[in-house]
Amino acid sequence: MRGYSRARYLIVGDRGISVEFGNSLDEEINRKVHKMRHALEKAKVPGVIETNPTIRSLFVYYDPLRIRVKQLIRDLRKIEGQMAEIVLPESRLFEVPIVYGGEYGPDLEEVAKLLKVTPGEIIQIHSGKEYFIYDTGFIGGSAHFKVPPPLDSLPRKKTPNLGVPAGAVLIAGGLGSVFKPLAGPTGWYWIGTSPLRQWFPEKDPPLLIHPGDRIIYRPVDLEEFEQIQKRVEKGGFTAQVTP
Amino acid sequence: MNAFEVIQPGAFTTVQDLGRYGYQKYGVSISGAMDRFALRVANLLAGNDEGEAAVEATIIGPRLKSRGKIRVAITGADLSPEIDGKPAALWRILNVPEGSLLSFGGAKSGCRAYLAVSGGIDFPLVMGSRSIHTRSNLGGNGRALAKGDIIDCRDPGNRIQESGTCQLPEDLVPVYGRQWKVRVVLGPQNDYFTRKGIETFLNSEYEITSQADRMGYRLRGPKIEHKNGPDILTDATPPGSIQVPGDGMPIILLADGQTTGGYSKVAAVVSVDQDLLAQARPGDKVRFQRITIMEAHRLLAEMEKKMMEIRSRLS
Repeated sequence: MRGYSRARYLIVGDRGISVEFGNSLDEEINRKVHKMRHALEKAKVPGVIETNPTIRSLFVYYDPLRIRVKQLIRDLRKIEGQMAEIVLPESRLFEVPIVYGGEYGPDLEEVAKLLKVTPGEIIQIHSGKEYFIYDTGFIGGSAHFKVPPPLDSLPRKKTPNLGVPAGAVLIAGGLGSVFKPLAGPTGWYWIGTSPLRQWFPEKDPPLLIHPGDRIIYRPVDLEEFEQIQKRVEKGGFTAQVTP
Repeated sequence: MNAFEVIQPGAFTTVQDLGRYGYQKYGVSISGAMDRFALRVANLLAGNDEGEAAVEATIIGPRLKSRGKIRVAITGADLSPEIDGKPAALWRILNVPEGSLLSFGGAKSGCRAYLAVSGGIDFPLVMGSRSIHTRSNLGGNGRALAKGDIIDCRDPGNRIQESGTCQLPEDLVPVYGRQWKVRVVLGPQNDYFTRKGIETFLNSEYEITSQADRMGYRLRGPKIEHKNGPDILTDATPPGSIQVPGDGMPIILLADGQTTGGYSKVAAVVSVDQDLLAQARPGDKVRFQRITIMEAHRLLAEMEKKMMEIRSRLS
């Protein structure tokens, strides 16, 4: 089944409501989340501070001193009834250069062993396919997509890696992180590195890749990786392919 | 105008205001003061708007040298503040002559102290806030304060009404112990836990481990049992969220918490008690008490009433 017939409204502490449209990684469910987000932004409900769209739910952050929670849920249900008319922005395609394995993806060998395939097969499965971006979250707007089998059977690591660099391409728990926006710890497997940047705090919006966009990995050699990295630093590299 | 120079930064000293709103969807944490009450009162005492940026010190406070005649207010944890070696009072306005040393000693009670400077701290606004978020290098120099940093005053012309009360009345000063009763609202994934798991969560004592910072506190205590494993499809993790990974030990996410997470959340700490938790230290004991969303909102309204009273008594 593709999502719930009516959204669930979950209480998240005393300032949040989670509007949950389903419980699976599904593009249709995710589009509902974003339609609801746009509809809510248009409706300008007093007391709503901001929203955070995630894979299958829209988190609504509100000021309980300005709106009563019962009223808020009534308003949200009304907006849910109207969101079908929202047209989402056109999906853009980004080509993401990547170097797999070695010091650029120290977990590639282990992932191959765990899944009983060769590292080359992992690369073949992971690259060259279009992936739909479900959300941007964690720290610095890490963009996530659904990984194809058998990569989707990979759990999170038992012991988190305490430091991976910005650009680290990760997979775990059925998801891929296009590449990590900022250096930091992770409990996901690190299979490659991209020279692209996701996080531009001086810009608004501060992210390159947004939910609803699509990405495709293109394996590159070290020489090209470094060339692209230099161009990214200077702001002279465009990863966007369409539109 | 220069307000002060950082001679020694202390354990972890940052600048915080009331936080960064509107960017959670881009993976930007709200941040802001861990103890909003203490920040707001410090600012009111210093004659500022209550949301001005102020210094947040953690357990071991900094040593600061004033670069002009400044007025400050210190609130929150009692980290034994001194001005030129003489004990300085908390929760009141203080005059700091030019060239004075403002330092902190032992942590007597609480965990986080706030130092507001009259006129506020002059950091550029980044995404609408002056708060430092070290994990994404936002605010100030994108890191905790360091030796040699010069902190400027935003509005040196800021006037304080000399005639008004310059001290928070004793009955309004919070008292920090080492045992904390923390009120929570269950959800959003309390249905991922067994009845026994929920009972354990609500009827046990948990200890705050050494893994406790602005991002969140890891607790240790009786294991909270899941029905079928801890993982959910990643969703939002606002401050206060209590997530429970596979080891059954709760993690309370706080001001610098990540915006999304994949562990089931048994409950969330209500806003007013997040301020209190900011004053809890590793080794302190925590007990959770379930309240309804309506009670949580009543507590929040009471807090605002208290703030109104403080505003009127200080003006």
